[in-house]
Amino acid sequence: MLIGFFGLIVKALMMIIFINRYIAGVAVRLWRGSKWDETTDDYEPTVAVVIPMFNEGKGIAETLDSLLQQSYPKHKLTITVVDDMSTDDSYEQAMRVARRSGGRLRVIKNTRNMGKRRSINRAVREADAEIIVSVDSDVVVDADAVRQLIRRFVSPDIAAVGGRVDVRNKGENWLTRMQVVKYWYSYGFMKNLEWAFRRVMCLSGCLTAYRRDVLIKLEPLLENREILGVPIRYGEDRYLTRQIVKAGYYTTMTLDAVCRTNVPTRLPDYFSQQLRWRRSNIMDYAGGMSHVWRLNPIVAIHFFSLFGLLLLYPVLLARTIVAGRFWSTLVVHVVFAAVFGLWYRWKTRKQPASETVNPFSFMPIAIVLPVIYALMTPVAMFTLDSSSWETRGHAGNDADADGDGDAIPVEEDSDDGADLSRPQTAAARAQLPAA
Amino acid sequence: MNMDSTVKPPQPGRLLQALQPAIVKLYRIAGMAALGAILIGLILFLTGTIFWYFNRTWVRPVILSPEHAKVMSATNALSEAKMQQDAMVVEKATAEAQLKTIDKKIEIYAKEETELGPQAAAKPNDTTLRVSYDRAVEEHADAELQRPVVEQHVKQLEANLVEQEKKVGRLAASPYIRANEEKRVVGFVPYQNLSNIHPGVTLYTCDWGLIKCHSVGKVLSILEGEVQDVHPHDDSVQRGVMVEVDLTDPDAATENVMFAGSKPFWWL
Repeated sequence: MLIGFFGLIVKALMMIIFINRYIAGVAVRLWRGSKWDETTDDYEPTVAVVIPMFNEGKGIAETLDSLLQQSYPKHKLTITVVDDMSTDDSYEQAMRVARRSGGRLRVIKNTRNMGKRRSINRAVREADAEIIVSVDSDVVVDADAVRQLIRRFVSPDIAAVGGRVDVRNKGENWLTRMQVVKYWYSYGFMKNLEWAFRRVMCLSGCLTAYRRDVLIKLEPLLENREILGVPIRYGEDRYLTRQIVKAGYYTTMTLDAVCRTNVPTRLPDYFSQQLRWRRSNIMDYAGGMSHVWRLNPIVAIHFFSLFGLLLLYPVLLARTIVAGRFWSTLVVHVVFAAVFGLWYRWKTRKQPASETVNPFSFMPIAIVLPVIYALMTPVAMFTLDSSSWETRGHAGNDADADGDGDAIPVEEDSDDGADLSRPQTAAARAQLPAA
Repeated sequence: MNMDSTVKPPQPGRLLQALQPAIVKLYRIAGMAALGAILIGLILFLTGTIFWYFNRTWVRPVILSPEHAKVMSATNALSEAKMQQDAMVVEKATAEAQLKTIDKKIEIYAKEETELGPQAAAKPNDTTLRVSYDRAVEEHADAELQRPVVEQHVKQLEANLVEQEKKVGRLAASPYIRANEEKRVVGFVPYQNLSNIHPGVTLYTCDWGLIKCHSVGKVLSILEGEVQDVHPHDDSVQRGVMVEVDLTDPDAATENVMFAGSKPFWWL
């Protein structure tokens, strides 16, 4: 009886999330038409792009070059790199680009290792621009990205606009190909409902524009984030987004502002990333319990459903396996993965081949996802105070890339975040100090 | 929205502040315990899955009652066999009586034939005598013809009756029938395990998972007839047969599973 009720609850949550993401979200999007992604070309504020950097090596030059090539008016755009005491030649690499930037690029160096969020906060305090664009140091940004972000500030109430994160190392191996489809769903579908109400609960730190005054207002929260005296240093982009929403502002996003990041190429890296995201999810959903119910009821139901499923789905998986129904469950996942892969193929059929992957690349998610949920969620739940998986091997915080996680609708949101804890290129990995 | 002031993080009360270290410590201990339990559970589950995948010695004890399907089926079969036996006895008696009648007829008509033959030959114009003699010859021949058929039938019935008596005896001796009178325990053996089961093989049950095992009896015989039961680990339906068991430890009948031949981990 109790077990049947439990299964019913989980199925109901899955159904709510599926409908919200793939039916209601899409329906609202179609209904709104051109009003869905409102833009304005009348607003052209000063913009400061902030890039926290730690041991990025030569890769930082590519990031900075892509930012220097932005189509946004040059006299209104400044770029600030905050070197968080890199132990490699990142600082010199950034300075080299700064010297040929015509004064548009500034490189500042922390006097001690402060972590990502505090590095950003420092740059925010020193900047005088109206809008701060946070960019991760391992991404390449499309030339029109900053302009597209700024065009979405159509109202003073909009405090943050997120861009879309695409996979840079698409064809490297099966894992990166799988993530290409996952990211495609994350941005194409999973945030639609929140987007419709301008309450996007997670904006990726890879590429997001914030109103500076809002960041200043929320700075004490970010600087002193802790639970029961334990500092929390992961998932801060997600935390920041939720605090913005909590403070009464709107958050929105656009698919027209694109940055590209390297995703994990090895399963251990991918799993460690997912573990951090699970921690981030749990903390954020738990934190949201006190105020999200005050938002739009549909957004609140969606939020609570995601939290419920995040906690209950691993239990359902465990029960399924113990009951000897592993193969039938796997078949269900395979069917979902196949359908989602084929839908991805259909929707991206007109895109250049270099931008897409084979739809069957998504099939491994059928086994990867249950493993992540069954193992990572309980581990994350009981290691929320952990600091051993932090970004870049120091007291920084995680960055956000994926934004909203798992495409298969039987699962809940993952979270966010490019894996910056271990730079994905071999060169960058080689430069990491032993953490 | 106040754009000027900053949002201060909420400050915990003094009591909560004082309790924080203890709460965090408790969380860490609970977390360690929970993760440890999950890890142990996972290892046990994987070990169990591998063990059951390869194990071919398990036997599921089944306590028979008069209401058990196999018992009811065996009781019905015994009743039917007894009814057949009774019918065969009646049929045999009828056939034997018929044989006696034929013998009597042969005797009578043979005598008549012997007596009337010379008389009929001496008086060829005596029609009555001639008819009597011809009838005696005909009846005698007819009876001689019938006798071996009936005699064969009687012999066949005798043989059938012997077989039927054996069948009834066998059915009556079945543990399924004995379960009508007293509690009987049999064991289900799936076909894939049958090669390891033979009369006399020792049975074991285990406590503490599969760690502490001891002998509880032995297999007496392998019973006929396919039955179905579920696998002790994954509840999948298995086809197999029942074996008659002799349990020295009656409590073993209530165990989930027994192992034949040796302890599952024989070195323990």
